[in-house]
Amino acid sequence: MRLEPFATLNDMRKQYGIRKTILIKVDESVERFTAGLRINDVRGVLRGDPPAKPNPRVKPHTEGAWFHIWPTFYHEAVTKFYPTFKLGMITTIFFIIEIITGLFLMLYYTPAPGISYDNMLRILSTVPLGQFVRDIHRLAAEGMVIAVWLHMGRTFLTGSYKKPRQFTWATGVILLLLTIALSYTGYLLPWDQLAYWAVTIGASMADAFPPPEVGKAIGLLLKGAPDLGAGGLLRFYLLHVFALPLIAIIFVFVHYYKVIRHGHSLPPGLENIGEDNARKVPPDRRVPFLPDILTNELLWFGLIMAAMIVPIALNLYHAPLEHAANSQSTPLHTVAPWYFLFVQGWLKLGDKTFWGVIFPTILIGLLLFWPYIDYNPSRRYGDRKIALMAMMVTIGLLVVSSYMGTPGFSVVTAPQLEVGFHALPPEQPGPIRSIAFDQLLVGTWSTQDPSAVPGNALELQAVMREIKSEIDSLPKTILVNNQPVNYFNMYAELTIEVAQGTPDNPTLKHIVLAVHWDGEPIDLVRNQPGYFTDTFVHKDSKYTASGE
Amino acid sequence: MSMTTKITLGIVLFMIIFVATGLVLLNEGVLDSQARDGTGRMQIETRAQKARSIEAGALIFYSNCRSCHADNGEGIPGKGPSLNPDLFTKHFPALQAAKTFNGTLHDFIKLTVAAGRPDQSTYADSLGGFVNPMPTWSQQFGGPYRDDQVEDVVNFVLNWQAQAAISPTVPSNFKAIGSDLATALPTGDAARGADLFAQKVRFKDNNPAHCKACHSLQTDTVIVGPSLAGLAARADSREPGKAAADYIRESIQNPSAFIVPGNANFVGANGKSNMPEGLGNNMSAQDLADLIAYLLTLK
Repeated sequence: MRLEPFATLNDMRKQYGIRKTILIKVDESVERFTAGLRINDVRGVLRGDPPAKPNPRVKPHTEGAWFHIWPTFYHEAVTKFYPTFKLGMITTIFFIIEIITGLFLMLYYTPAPGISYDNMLRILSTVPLGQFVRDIHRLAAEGMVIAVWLHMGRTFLTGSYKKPRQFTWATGVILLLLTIALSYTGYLLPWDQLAYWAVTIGASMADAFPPPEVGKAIGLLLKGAPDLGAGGLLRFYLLHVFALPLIAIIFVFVHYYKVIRHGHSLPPGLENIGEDNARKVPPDRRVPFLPDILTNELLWFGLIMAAMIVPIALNLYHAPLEHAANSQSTPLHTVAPWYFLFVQGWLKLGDKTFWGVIFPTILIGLLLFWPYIDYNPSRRYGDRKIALMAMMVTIGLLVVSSYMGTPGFSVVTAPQLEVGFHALPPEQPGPIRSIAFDQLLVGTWSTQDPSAVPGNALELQAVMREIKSEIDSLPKTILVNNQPVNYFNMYAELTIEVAQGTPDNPTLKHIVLAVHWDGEPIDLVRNQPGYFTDTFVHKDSKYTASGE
Repeated sequence: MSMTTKITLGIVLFMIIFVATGLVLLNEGVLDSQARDGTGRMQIETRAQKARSIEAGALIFYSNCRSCHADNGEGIPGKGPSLNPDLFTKHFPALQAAKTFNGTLHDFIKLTVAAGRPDQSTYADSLGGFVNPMPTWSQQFGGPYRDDQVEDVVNFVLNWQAQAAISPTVPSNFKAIGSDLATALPTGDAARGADLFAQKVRFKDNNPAHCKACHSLQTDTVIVGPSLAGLAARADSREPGKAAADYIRESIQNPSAFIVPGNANFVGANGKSNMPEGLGNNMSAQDLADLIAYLLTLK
């Protein structure tokens, strides 16, 4: 007896001929690839035909690994923009974009001080589409942080965390923390001044963990040394490209799977209080995942990609890159990433251990266990006045704390330093460097008389007026150790001279910004009274208002 | 939304993404013509990065190097050799001719900046030697700067190369006063002396005066050498038998001839003054007279 359960290709050729054999085999391959859909089923999906009976379009959900974490059908009520605002899906889309663009950037990146920053310069200058991909990676990272916060806010607003979805909410809180951690670890990798000092602030919070011995150990574990250096960069890199994405992917699967188990929570008004009908979808209100939901999600993917790519293509946005990290030079205003500004605001309130570790831990704990604490069974807005008020108050506090984190709050800086910092910021182009090179006229120009600048240098004239109004807006008296110090009759002088090249064809100009006021001290380096900021500008530097 | 609408919308979105990405790519500088003309974004960015490196190097040079190599790299006799133009026109061509250095000019500058000079080179000897050797600047050799910052300084120095070819030359009728203390000087013009000191005008050989690199005009302020404030008042009584003008003249032309007792800070290990020798080689008799006339006004 011949043991041959399957017809061989040769048998098939004899039976059907070559052409039909190939078609049958292709059809089988498609069916395996889609986990259950034949070619004609796929064509039916694209034509918009109703499904055959029995419906082959549920097979990918039961047979395939990917689709089994999506429900086979959604309740019609949750496919509209309200109540989900599509925020969970948008977060996932950003996460997928991050993985793809991140892999591309990894090709050109080595995590080591002295090399990483050079890698960044090369990504910008010698890798085709390098800047483009980096911009998308950066934009999608910011977008993901925003989307994940909004998603959590929406879930709170509609009470969707309530029984039976408490655990789904908890995994969501973990995903929020993972998203912020991913963004923050990625922030360090360019190894520029922006990255180094922003991360130094955050990483120093690890040292504040009580008791001091434990804090020291955690800080060492995170940074590899008392200060950020080669060890810290490597650790942040491995967290960013390996550990955190891996944990995030696991939790995304758990989060998604919970959504199938419990269904999407319906708009609060559709259910009686205490009921949960998400799983009992009447047949006439079912919207199948294949093809309706899947095609919707693909459209959203395209919309988000276009929304990021078009501004980048129009040069409206480029990810910033400052000078190489320099542990010897702390910028005047060191600021955490915007989504961490509120923590920086708290740190200004006093004790680092309380405001930097204990208070945030309490808040995270509260957030994690909130569904188990909130015993109110109703999801309706009218029954949840206290919870919704608490949400508004929390948002208000976060906004106020974030404002407190900005340099404008509770940091007293001498006015002459502010003038120098804004006119010639050490890390950004600032107004003076953005002036066209040939309009940087050799000579000395004063804010006392901006109109003395000739008409062929209107940009220079405008900047002199800008500095003048900046000086006028600064306080004339500040308190230093509770003693008033006066800064009366302040003005600035800009001296421009040719540093390299000939007077007719300069390649490099030396710019000195001098700030003068009544009772100014002697500058020790120059032996002259006043406050001085030096810079040099090269004709090819291409400082533009946006971007670098 | 019907499936037809979705497919149409999807195609439109795909086209937008495809066209926008294509436009970015076309502008990147991957085309041969862009690479040749330097018009692509990557070529412009490469130039901008070089330019910003030169700017960063200029700031480092400004705060560290000009005290010996002077503001425009023209060098200060006895303190530091000329980089602009001698490094390009004399020093490196000589090394190449003698085949004692195999690398490029870029390598040579980088090596010297990074590792310094442990000892006087024969080139330095040929210029009469310098008070202090070139220090090390790279963190690899105990200096303060990272390698990329050393590279910035190198880029800044190399930016003089194009200009070095058209630097001022010494006029043929220039006659240096040197260390000749016997020749009587013409009448000095204190106003021109002040301009010479402030580097508003140059010596007759087209080189600037470097006095202010070491000497402050503020009382009791020491940059490298002693403050010149009140010089006219004390010069008369410094050296027995020398009038103020003669004392100042000797101090410029032959600084180690008389050293004020008790001023150990200004004396090198060899017992000679830290004030460089050979300053007279850049001055004509008139230049020297003008400087002395100016210094005698510092009462």
